[in-house]
Amino acid sequence: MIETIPQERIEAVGANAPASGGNGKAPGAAAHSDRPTGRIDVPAYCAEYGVKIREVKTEANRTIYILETCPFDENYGSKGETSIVQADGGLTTFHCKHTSCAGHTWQDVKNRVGKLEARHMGKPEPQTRPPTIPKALPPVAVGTWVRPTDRNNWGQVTADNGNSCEVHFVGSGGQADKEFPKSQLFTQDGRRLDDTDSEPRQFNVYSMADLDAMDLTVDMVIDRVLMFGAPAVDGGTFKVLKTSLALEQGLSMGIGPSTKWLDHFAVVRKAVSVYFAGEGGLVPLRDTLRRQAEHKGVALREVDGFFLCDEVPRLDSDADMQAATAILRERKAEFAYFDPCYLMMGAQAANASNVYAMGTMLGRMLRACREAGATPVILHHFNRAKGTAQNDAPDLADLSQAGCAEIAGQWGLLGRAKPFDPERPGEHDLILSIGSRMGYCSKWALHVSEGTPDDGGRYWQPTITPFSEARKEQQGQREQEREAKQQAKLNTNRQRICNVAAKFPAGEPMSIIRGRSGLRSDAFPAAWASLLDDGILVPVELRKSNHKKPYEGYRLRDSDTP
Amino acid sequence: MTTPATTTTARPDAQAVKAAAGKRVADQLQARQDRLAEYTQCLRLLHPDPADVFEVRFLNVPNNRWKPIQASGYFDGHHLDAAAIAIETYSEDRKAAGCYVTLNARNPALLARAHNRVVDNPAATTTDAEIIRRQWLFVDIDPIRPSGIAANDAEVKAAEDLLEVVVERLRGFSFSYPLIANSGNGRYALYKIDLKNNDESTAMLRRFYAGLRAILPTPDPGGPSADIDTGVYNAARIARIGGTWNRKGDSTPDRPHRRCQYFDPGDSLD
Repeated sequence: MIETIPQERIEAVGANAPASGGNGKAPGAAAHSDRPTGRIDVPAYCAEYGVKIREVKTEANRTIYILETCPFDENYGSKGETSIVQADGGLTTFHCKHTSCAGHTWQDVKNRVGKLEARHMGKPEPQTRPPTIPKALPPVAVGTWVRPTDRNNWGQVTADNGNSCEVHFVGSGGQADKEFPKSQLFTQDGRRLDDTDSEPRQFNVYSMADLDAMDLTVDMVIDRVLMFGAPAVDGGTFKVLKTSLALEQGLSMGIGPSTKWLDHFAVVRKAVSVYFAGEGGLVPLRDTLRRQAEHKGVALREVDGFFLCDEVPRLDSDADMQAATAILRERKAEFAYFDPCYLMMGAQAANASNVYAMGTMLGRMLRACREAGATPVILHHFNRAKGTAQNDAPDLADLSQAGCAEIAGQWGLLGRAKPFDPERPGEHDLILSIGSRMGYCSKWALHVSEGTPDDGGRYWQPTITPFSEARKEQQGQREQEREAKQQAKLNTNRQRICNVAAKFPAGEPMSIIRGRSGLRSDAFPAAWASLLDDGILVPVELRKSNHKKPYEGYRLRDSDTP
Repeated sequence: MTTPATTTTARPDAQAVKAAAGKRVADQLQARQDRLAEYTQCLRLLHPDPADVFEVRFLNVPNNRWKPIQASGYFDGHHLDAAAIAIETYSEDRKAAGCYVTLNARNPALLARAHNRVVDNPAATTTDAEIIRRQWLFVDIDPIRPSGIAANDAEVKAAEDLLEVVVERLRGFSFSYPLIANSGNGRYALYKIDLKNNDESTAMLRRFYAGLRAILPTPDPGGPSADIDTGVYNAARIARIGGTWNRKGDSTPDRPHRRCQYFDPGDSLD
């Protein structure tokens, strides 16, 4: 139970306030001088008094000693419900989840088990802080803009007194300058004035002459598709084989120049890649890789330049990023695939539309890759609104959320040339758009045939053609289809005219035949002209009793008369 | 021409996978139960009277919009479970930067502002004038560091050291051992008091903090050091809730986010 402090004691402390003439001495400095100090060595304490520790758990900022039995009741403890917890700072507490133990504290444990002695303490720590030798602090130029830790306004240094500075604040008028310890003053670049260790931040600046003389050739690893050194983004709508194509890309680079990506793009040199895959699972990923390796004529186990990790690192987790960087360094990876981007955002996923928040997160990834010497390739989804419309050419603006389109130095975007047909699940007609900040840019019609498990098994067969050629071929086919359709219609119309003409062996005027055929005025002339050109209809002179002059009529030629 | 690929799939042991998943879920549920118990215990420590009405407040709760929000709710001692669930939601799920509770007794009518529930962007939170009595003397020890970031281990150690000094010095004034808390970056020492909330009490506490600072050693300018906050004399002062996260700035390896912890009276320094 905590004792209530009477008002007089509070006032007694308040009497030490400088305004009240307090002497600044510490009346209680000698209190409890015989108390053992330092961090309690819990295992030593327990061992001496026969309290058995079943298990020791170490968490982020505390250590938990789970006891075999509760010190207050030997029947408790079999389920690990009794423990002594020691925070990293040294504070020690007792916990037991049984109702009868409610209210028992570490103080009670000590009263019951045994007195805490000096020998139970770990490293003895001084009661008061040892005297410190002031470091020689760096001088501060007069006029430097500084800000104290507890204020938001900036002032200029007017004098450097060694360990402190006098500061004149803007707008303080005729008020005297205030003196602050250097430990409480920050410069505009965020450096504390007493900070002698931190190196000032360095940026690289190049003159135009230096820049012009530098050896900065484009290191193209897959010809006109992927170069080393520029962040890449692979995007696409739903189920357009983003992962499969990226896997084949990494696999191709892992094999080297003996193969081509999509059987078309030359692999200039071998490059090691690590693929962080957060979607799909190992089973389909291995299946895809096996089919691709078999298509390339190599055994998957012999590919030594491609590595797969079945998780993606979280960009907001330092531990994840350090682990990912370590993997990239260990494997000497030149490319790091992150599939998909959205699983890496962690707690920042709620800010996915905020380009500043995403910029910070993606910036962490770029830094990690730069430190590991790898080029990141991010796989990302398109906006839902993009849909899967036919021949809807993909664009960087289709990438969902913020940040990815902005950081892309090179990209490969996938759309559908034809909607996905569930009756032909192994056939994909896609549009592949490739581009980069270095100027290369191309658009391709990509057909991937994968087969189905029920119909001869699955395989991998990409076929790629320039989009313009595919479009021409497509247009030519459509033209032929249209012509065939027109010809069929013409034949039908000719047949109808012939049927009518056959009913009048002696011949009838064109107006009569047209009326009887029922053909519209836009369909009749072409069919009529073609029949005349072919000589199937021949003109005849018709005479009727009430006509003085003969008039023109038509009939089928003799051989065509049914 | 292609040939069909034959693949053999090594199926993982389904029983082992299920058992591992089950253990993971059980561990998560147990951890959640432990946290709820810790919140409840903290609230009960600070407000042992079930008739007490207190406010829980959540600062800098991330929001889909551009600016983090604030959330607040009022609870009485009969609804500690509801308060604990709300705290769990805001601390663990909504990643609030700080979860706080008021320390002093307030007008019970305030419960009608948000009756045993939490609302986002509340129209009003507790003001000094709404406090009836002062129940806690709050000593807040913070490491000296730039604002908006978590403390490093050395700075936390400096706060820990200063806490010991504070307790020892106040023992010299016949103060009992306080309720101790680790606020994540610094330390709290909470002494039980019972004062009316008026100008005299406020002035007395201002003098107390000034006097306390005068009897403490001067912060060391050459290394990590800590100091007491002398501006915590206002009646509507809030303190962090035990078991919740203190998320100041970004969590980095040397300046990680830490949980707040309260220690039972008697568990304290010795």
